[in-house]
Amino acid sequence: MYNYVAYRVADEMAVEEILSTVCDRGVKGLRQYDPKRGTFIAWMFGIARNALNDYFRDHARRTNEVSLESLPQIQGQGDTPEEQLIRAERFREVILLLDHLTENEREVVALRYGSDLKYQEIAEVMEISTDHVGVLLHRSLVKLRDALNERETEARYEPH
Amino acid sequence: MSRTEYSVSDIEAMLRGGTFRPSENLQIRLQAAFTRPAVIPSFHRSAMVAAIAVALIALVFVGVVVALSTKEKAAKVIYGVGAVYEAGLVHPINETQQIGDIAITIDWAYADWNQILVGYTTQGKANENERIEVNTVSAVLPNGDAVEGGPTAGYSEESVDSSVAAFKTPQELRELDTVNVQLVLRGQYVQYRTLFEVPADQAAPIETIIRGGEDFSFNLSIPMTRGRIIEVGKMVEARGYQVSLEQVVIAPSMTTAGLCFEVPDPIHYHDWIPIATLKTGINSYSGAGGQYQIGETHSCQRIEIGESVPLDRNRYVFRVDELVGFTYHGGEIVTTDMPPDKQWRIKGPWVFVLEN
Repeated sequence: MYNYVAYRVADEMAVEEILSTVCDRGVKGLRQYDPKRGTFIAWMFGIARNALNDYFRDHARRTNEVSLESLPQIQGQGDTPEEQLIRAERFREVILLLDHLTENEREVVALRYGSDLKYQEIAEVMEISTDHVGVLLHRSLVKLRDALNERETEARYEPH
Repeated sequence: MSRTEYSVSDIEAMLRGGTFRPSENLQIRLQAAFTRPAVIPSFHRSAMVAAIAVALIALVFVGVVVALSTKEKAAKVIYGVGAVYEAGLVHPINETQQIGDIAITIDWAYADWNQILVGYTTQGKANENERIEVNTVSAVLPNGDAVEGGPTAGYSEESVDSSVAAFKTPQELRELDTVNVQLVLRGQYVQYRTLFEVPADQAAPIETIIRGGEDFSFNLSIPMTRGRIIEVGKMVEARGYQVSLEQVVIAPSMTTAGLCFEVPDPIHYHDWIPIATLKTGINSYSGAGGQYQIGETHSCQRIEIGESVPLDRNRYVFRVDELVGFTYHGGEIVTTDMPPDKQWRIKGPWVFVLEN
């Protein structure tokens, strides 16, 4: 959930504010949740999506802004500190390009790579078909690839 | 990886190679605000709601433990459980049963003077859009008690789901060297479908289709990890109210305290919980009660501190910071975030110094 929200807003303070709201609404609404009628995960992600929408509306900003200064802490995976450092840096490089995606594309990337949800679960949360999830994900990865390659090309030709 | 031309696979690998990490302050703040004073009061009213509430916190923080197996991730969601797992105090079981396409493995088990924990993993082949879920975990303990334990924490990856079930250890089992538990987990296929979007503070209407349902039975012998009991039997008065601390039981996975107090106003406030802190050295651990029965004028509650407190200290300070009363008309969840007119917070403190 933390990673899902962080992918969407990429601002540590905003993530904390939104998660507090999600937990608050989740706790207060627990009695209305019926496990026989749906997954807890889908229910909570529904609350998170609504909290994100409220946040964007209240702060008059869009999801697409990504700033290096406000990013939450990043942890890279790996067996050695060097490997962790390299992976964290590569992860940061891609995250900084999320503003090239539309809101739906960023949402699907957040659910897949931030929250590690399965296609079926993403489809349930976003209320779209699993095929549509696949299409959105592929399109998002292509956009990120192109943006990263373009940035690398520009960096290569910048005067030293 | 080439720095000149990236592929889609590279992008995917880069995204999978890192994760955002919540600050420690956020974890502490949310856990303090929601798992302890906020949710615990509702535990005695509905075990299901309590289990979900704990799962809610787990859901927020599962990303903290990324490079581990699902069973390790599930164990490390809750501080106290993670501490005994990391210390190697859990007893490996690794026993699998398969019925049809569902396989349930008991990964490990653990017992101490405060709780009995069982780590289990569910795997299987479900139809498209279906999930395999363990619906209930029940146990028969050596004293004959039949108890039901909710999932304290859980973690899922693809078709593998690991969870930890927790049961309170009855006092009469503390002297046993080994606890024999008959455990039954009910596994079933579940399909969910969201019907339509609703406002954030309401539950989304979701249709559920349940298929099958098999009971998986295991007989476990779990070594008992001993703890420390500090008998106190002292009463302290502050703000005109008396609070007495009967005993503190420190065990590696959790610390509990038996606390009694006179209820300031059982007529207008229908739920009362004490919020407490245990200090030893420079470390401080928070906990709360939550077994108040409506109308009680004298309440005795079990305070639970879900962290690993050192057993060998000479001096502990147990402090009841607040007695909090809530109005409760049925249906709503009581939380410390409720409006001031729905709660009465009496700040003590009531302080108990425990020394050898």
